[in-house]
Amino acid sequence: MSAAGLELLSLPPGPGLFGQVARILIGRHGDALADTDLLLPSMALAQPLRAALCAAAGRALFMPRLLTPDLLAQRWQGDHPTDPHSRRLLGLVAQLRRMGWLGEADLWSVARELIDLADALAEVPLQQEAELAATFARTHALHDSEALSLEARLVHAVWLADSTGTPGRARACAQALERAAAAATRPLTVLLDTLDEPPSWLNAWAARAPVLCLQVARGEGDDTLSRALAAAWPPPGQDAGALWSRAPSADDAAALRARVRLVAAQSLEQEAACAADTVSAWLAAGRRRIALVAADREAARRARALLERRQVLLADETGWKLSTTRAAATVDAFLQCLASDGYHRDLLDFVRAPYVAAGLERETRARAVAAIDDWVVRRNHVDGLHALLVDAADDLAGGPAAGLIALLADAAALMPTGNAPASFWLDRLLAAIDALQARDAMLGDVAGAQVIALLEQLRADSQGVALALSFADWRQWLNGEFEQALFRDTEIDSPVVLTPLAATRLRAFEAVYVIGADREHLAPPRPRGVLGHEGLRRELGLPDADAQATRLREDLAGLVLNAGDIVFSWQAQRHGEANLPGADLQVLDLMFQRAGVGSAIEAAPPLAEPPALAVIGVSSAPSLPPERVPQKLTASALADLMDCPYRYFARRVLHLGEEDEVEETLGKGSVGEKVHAVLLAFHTAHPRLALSSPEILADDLRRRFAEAFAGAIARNFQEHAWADRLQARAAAYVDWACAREAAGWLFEAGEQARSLSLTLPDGGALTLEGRIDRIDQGSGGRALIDYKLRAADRVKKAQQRDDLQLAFYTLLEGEAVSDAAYLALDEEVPAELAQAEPQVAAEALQSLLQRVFPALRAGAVLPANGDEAACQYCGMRGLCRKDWLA
Amino acid sequence: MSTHIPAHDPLRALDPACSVVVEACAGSGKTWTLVSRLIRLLLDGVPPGQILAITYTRKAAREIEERLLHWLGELAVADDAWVGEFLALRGAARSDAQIARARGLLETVIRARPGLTINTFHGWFSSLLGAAPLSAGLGGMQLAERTARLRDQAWGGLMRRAGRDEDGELAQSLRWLLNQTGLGGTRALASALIDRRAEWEAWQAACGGDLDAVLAHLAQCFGADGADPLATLFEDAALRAALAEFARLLGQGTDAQQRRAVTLEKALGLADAAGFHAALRAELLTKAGLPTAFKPGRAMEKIGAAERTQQLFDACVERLLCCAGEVEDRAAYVLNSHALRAAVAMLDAYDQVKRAAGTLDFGDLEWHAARLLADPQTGPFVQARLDARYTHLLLDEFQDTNPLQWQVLMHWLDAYAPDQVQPRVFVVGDPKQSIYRFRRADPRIFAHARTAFAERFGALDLRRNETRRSSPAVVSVVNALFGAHPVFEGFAPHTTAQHGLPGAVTVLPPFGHDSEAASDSAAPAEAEVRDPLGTPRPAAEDSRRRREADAMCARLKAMAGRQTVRDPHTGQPRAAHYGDMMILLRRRTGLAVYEAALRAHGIPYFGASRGRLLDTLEASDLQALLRFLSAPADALSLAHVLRSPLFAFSDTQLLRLTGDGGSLWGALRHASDDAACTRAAALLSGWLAASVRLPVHDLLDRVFHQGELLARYAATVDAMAWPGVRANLEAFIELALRVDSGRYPSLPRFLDELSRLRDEDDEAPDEGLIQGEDPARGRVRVLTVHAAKGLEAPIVWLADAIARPRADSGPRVLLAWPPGDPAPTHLSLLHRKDSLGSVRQPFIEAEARAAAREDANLLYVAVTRARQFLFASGVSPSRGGDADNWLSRLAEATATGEGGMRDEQGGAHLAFGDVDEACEAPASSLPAAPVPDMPALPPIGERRPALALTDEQRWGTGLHAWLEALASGEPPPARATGFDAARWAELERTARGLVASPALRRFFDPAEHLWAACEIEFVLPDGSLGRIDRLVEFDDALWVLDYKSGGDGVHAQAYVDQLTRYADAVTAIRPGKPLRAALLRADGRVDILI
Ligand code: SF4
Repeated sequence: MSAAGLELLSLPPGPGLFGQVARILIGRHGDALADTDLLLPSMALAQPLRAALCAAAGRALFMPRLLTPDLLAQRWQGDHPTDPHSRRLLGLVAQLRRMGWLGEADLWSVARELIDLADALAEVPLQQEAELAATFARTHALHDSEALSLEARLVHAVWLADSTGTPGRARACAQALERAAAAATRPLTVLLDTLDEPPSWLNAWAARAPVLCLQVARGEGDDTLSRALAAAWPPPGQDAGALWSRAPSADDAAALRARVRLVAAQSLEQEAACAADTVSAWLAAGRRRIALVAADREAARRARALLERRQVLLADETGWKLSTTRAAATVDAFLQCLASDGYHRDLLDFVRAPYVAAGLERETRARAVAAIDDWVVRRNHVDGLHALLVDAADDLAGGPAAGLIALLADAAALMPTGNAPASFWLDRLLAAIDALQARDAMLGDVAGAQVIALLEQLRADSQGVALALSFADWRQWLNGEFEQALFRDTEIDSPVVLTPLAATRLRAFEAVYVIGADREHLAPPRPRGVLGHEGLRRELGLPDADAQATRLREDLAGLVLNAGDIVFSWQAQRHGEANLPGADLQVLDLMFQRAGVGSAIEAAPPLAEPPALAVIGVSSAPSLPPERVPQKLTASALADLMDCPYRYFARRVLHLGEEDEVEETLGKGSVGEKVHAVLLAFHTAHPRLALSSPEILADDLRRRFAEAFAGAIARNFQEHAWADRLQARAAAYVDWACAREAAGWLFEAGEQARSLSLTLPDGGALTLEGRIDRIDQGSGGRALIDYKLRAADRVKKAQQRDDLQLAFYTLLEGEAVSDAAYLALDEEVPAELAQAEPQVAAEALQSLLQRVFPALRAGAVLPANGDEAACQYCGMRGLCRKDWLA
Repeated sequence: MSTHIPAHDPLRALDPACSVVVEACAGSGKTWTLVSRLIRLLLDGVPPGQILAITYTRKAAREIEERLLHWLGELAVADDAWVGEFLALRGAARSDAQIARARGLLETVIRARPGLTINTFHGWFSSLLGAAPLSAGLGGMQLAERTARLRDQAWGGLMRRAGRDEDGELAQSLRWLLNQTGLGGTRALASALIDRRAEWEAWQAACGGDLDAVLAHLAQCFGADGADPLATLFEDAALRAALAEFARLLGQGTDAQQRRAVTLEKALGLADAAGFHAALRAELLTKAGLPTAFKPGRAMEKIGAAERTQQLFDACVERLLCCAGEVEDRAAYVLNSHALRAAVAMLDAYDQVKRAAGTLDFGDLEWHAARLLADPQTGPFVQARLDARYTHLLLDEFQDTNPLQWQVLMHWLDAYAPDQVQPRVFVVGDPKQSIYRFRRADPRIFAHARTAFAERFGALDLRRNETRRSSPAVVSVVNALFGAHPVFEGFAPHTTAQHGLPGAVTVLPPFGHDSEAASDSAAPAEAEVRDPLGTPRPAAEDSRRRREADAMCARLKAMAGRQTVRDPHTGQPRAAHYGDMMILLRRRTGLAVYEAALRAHGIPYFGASRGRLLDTLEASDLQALLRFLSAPADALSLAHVLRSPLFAFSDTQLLRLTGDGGSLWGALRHASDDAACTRAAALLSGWLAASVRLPVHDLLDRVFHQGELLARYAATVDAMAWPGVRANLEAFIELALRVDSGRYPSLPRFLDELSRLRDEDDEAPDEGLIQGEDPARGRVRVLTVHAAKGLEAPIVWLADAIARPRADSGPRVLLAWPPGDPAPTHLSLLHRKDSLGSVRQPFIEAEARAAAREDANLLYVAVTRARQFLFASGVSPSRGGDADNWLSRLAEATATGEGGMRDEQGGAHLAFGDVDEACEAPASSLPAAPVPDMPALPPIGERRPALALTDEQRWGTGLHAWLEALASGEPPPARATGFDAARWAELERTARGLVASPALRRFFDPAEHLWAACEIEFVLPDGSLGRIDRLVEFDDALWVLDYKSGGDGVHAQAYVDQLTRYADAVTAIRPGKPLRAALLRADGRVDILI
């Protein structure tokens, strides 16, 4: 073969494809094969092609040079500059900002869309602006639309910039291929895996050397499988009539039906289990080259996990967004910490991030993290990075946590505080990663290394772009880059590959499992935005939706013809909604029905039951060894005991508390503490109220409240809620207090700690401990008051649920007590809710304690018998397992 | 026009030439009609892209799509008779041409671009936004389904803003609100506009543009701009005269009346308006603001002033009440002036947060859609971009449309140019089933649309009152129930197509307290305190509900396998199974009691599981595990995990581990004498190490696998509960997959996200669906009435039927938006039910009417779910409840329905047909799930960590690239990673030096050799492969060159072997010339080896 020129040859898909290609190549070039170039759509096809050539020749053989368009373009890139994506983006955003056309829009996403569009148009000849605007108007059938002509103008501008300035990647690639063609000397064979027109640069090549394009396309079908498949999915370009008229022979249909299974699952788990079982069964039957086609990535991921349990590793060709890796998350955790000014949850996320402070030994690190957790709760640190870095470093000095905090401080100090160009931000970020002692650890794994490489690449690419970005803006840009970069775990070598549909083109597999073959996942991409209009796409020469749908169907057809066995599965329902199989699969199945061989749709096998184990009993009625029976009792412990003995067990015997949490706003507890303190100070300062005027007293009380809350208000404006309300009610409180004093109750003491040891009938001891909010002395005895920062009806309700708090205090204080009451403070006027006959109640309580504690020592069980109200907010539900107790 | 079809013909609704509005009662086959119409349109040649069908939920949209494609699929392959029959049933011609066309429809629909659109309003709106012009500023915005976190952030922002300017208007308003309504009230008021964003914007525009305009409008509306009502009262001469006369007359009466007279006279003498008002109030009104009791009595009769005093009293009271109303209105204005200011600022803060996050919420979606379409520029743009000029609009569940959606729809229709073909509309819905007021649905729009579409498109008004679902028994109760109900205006009696379907309605008498249980837990003697160890706290409510639940379960159990029902699909009689039964509840309260009873009776059921996954014990076990893995010091979480079936520790074991007061995790790791502890410590340590790097999903998978989690849970819970527990465990792992595969995954962030998800009402994850049920047995479905919409069952049990509807309460937006109006006529904020004032009374009453109607609708939906058997039960309320409740209404209707009767306890019963036919229960046929019997596989695949290239290797690779480029005349290679410019230049120099060196030139200069190839690959017959760096042919010999960059002596023998192999290969391929092989070194030396 010698004459220049372009020849197009069509070959049918199927396992025989490479044999045919090999025969054609050998037939045409014989010994001169080594002097030709062979362009493959992807390098994954090189291996089967070599084998086919070798088989066809039947002897040792030099190969043609195997290339892909990308590789060829790379060789011809030379020192022609390209404008990297990230840099174009920054430039375009800078430009859009200057123009100010787009108002408040998110310019990053607009710019991304425009750049994608310029790339899509890289091979389309440039039009005049007016011409383009006219095309827009014509295809949309819309005249005098400002919005539309603005878009045409924008498209034209980026297009022009790309074609006349430094080209973007797509155009640079196209130009390199043109250069290669212009210098071509060797015959070229091109294997095309889609039905798109051969690219135009091949014509230039053909002018200098012979070019043979091998296009893989289904024809009439001369074997059973392709005939049956053609009946379901007529090859493109044929006007085939309705399915009814295309009925294949039952034999043809049956032959296809024997190789294809359509499986409807009821849940993700069932689908994934079906995939894992099927792949395992294939492996067990000795099949190797197996593809798991991930139409639905989540289901595929689940299936992969299930296969890994069986020690089947998958080579992952799909690639994940780099942003979904822990490595990227670590970088983000650091940035988030800065962005939220050390917000405690972000801080706790950051200190747990892997890679950071990689030098720390695991145990030490765990202790450091625990110490920081603890510090955050103790200090009630909500946010404030500066305070955090300074105070935590002080408080934790000497411990392992200090080191971790110091790293964060060093790293944070490196980051700019104002606007800066992207490259500067990146430079600082890389320095911060060093400061965090994370770089080496990151380089130690695949994803981490890719993150570092990306950051370095971005730094280089954005060099010299002056656009100054704020931290938030820069982060948005960086997030976009992390979203765009693909991460692929290339370390696994396996005959089972996890791959996207498009990557299966022309590849032969012994068996293929397509997971997630529903209408949503198995659908052609739907372009949106500026180039979303079908008519416009066609005018500009871009593939329209029809072309995309054809491509999808041909990919599926190729897969069916190339695979020994093929299973399509989908979840027939998702989130409680019906989920239909892909449209092409529905037609395929109808073809089976039309041919009379019956539907191929089957239900996924039910999930296997786990192996049976001996019954595991649950019981929640512990009894205590005598030495573990508590010898101390507080009022709140008593309340636990009354609410539910098991809760008492968990909290007061096992000492499991709910983890304290950071209070983002003052909780009732903290407000209550402040109020108690203010009232104590107030009454201590004015032991006899009658000596001052109510106005002066009220002023004083207001001032005290104001002081107590000033700090909290400065931190958070909403703390006015309690502060203002308490101040507004100060006068009413004073009135109440004066009236009480006038009635003969004189304030005696507040916040009094008391304890009382009881000797129990079995000889054991029990010490009651408590703090009494306030004690007044009257003529007939003492009165106990317990402040409640609640409305009277809520206090009353609680009181009706066999509440023993006042009885408990009465018992503590002794016989002098004649009155005991709650004082509900969240009322316009404070409301007293008295305990009826406090001494009787105290006696009853005492007799209860004298029965209960000896009983516990004698082995009585603590049942989980809380009622609905008790259980609702109980933190021990996971321990008592009440939900499952009969 | 197809005039041969009379207007009342039900098939008229399918006629593509007609626009219709169909009001269709429950069970009348709305979906059938809608999908049939779609098929008629397609048969008529309407391109799929010109059809837009909108329904209320995604689930419904999917169902319509599924039904359509299913039917089209059947048409594509069925024989002529079947297709003909199918067409005839739907009023289409049976001709051959029509049959052929019907067969091709499936592919027509599948291939259509743009395709047929079946969507929800929200889905449609978001495609409108997707088609917005770049200049609309919506590019890149994502729809945020979860907004709680965004709202938190916005609130934080608002507080910071207020804190920065303590004296500013905003801060003052907020403090006023905080003081008056507390933190919760303030937040609720400030956030109230977020869910009413679009209404607010419309209202603001209608008032004239901004907050000040709104406040001015409201001031006028509330009379806040007029004179002080107390002053007016004070100066009201008529009132004064009446009071004086009243006092004068009373002065002649009884002692009490005289006292009153004195007080009133004193009041009249007061000099200040406020005091005057207070004194009158105290005398004439009760504390609650109602008139005090006044009886003229004998004394007044005696002086002949009885009538007059009564008159005077009434007049004064009325005047006083009127004043009170005015005072309240003013107060309402003050509240609104503060609350709206705060709410607008909050809206602003929320917008900023959303913008920063690049998200929109559902409210924005509606608002932007309305804005886009209302604009004369962007409206047509969006239509053009979507290439969607629909000629047929189908609107399903139309009673659930809200005013804004209606506006958007109208804007869309308005964007049709007058010369364009006007669309045909098909509207179907049932105002009787409107139960989504809380999502702002307004059923009045239905009636409005009927008129509007009749005017605009000549739409026919069709009404369907025939159900295809229910037995005459159920229908007669429905008719008795709603025919008489005053709020159910316009009810037309239903008929049923199921003439012969037997059925019965049974209303049980209310369940009161169990007399025995009451004596059991008799209150202890006064002084005695309850012993918590022996006696749980008595719970009043529960015992009644438990009795109700017990009775229900006993009855259902008795019916399973014995009661004959007609199979809904085949229509054949068979024994009922649990899958035929549905339990409906108005609310979730008490749900646990019903579920517990079902479990206790051994009845399998699907829980009313919406949004509850994360609350289940099994899911909380997994969360505890993850919490522990994220913070090993968290002893409570660890204890929780240890108690879960994963480790199933006993309380005694926990006691032992906590004995020394140290950390629980430490104690566990050192308790080496106990096998359970060792296992737990080993597994947990492993997961702890893995948790740092593994994604949560993979971590959980490991937990499931290594912890034998499923098996251990199966061994713990009873067989009845197991399928549900399993489904939940699997749903949790799916949740992890979904949540954690997003951007920047980490365990702490995942846990944060879970706690957030739990709090989101709408988006909280659902429990898992139970799989693999025995169809002969099935499960009882437990559902809220809302969730049951669209479903049906042969046997329906409406439980808790005495519960009262939840009243509108708490801070909210009060809105009046008459259907069809372009903007609301009133919008203000309401804090509490008290102090409503008089101005807003009509709106509040309208709200109450709508609520009462909705409550009746809810009952309609509940009752019409039943095909054959309907039961209703409830518990008598603890304090003298309302006599009017669902149960009493149902009892009344059942007793008065045809053949109904009442029983003594207050229940009622009604039956139709032979409901007692005996029937054999089919044997249970659950196939045991096969335990897959997998032959053991060898490990497949291996992990081979990529080795970093050594410097030397990198140099070698670079050299190859340069030599190849130089030799083949291609441009220089791109700089490889790992090289800086200087080193790359050095490499270039080396390569160029080599090529030009005297010793090597002949290998690279084409003039000096016959033929050469670079990087040439060869294959040997055994399939083995090699790549030769350079192969050069001279007259006398073939040379194989291998580039070598390393130092001397390394692997010398290996090189020799390799070159020998290459040489042999070349000889085999190109026999004939002697072969030489050489190693080319970086310094230019050539080692000739062969
Ligand atoms: S959940 Fe209820 S039963 Fe369990 S410990 Fe808490 S209060 Fe007791």
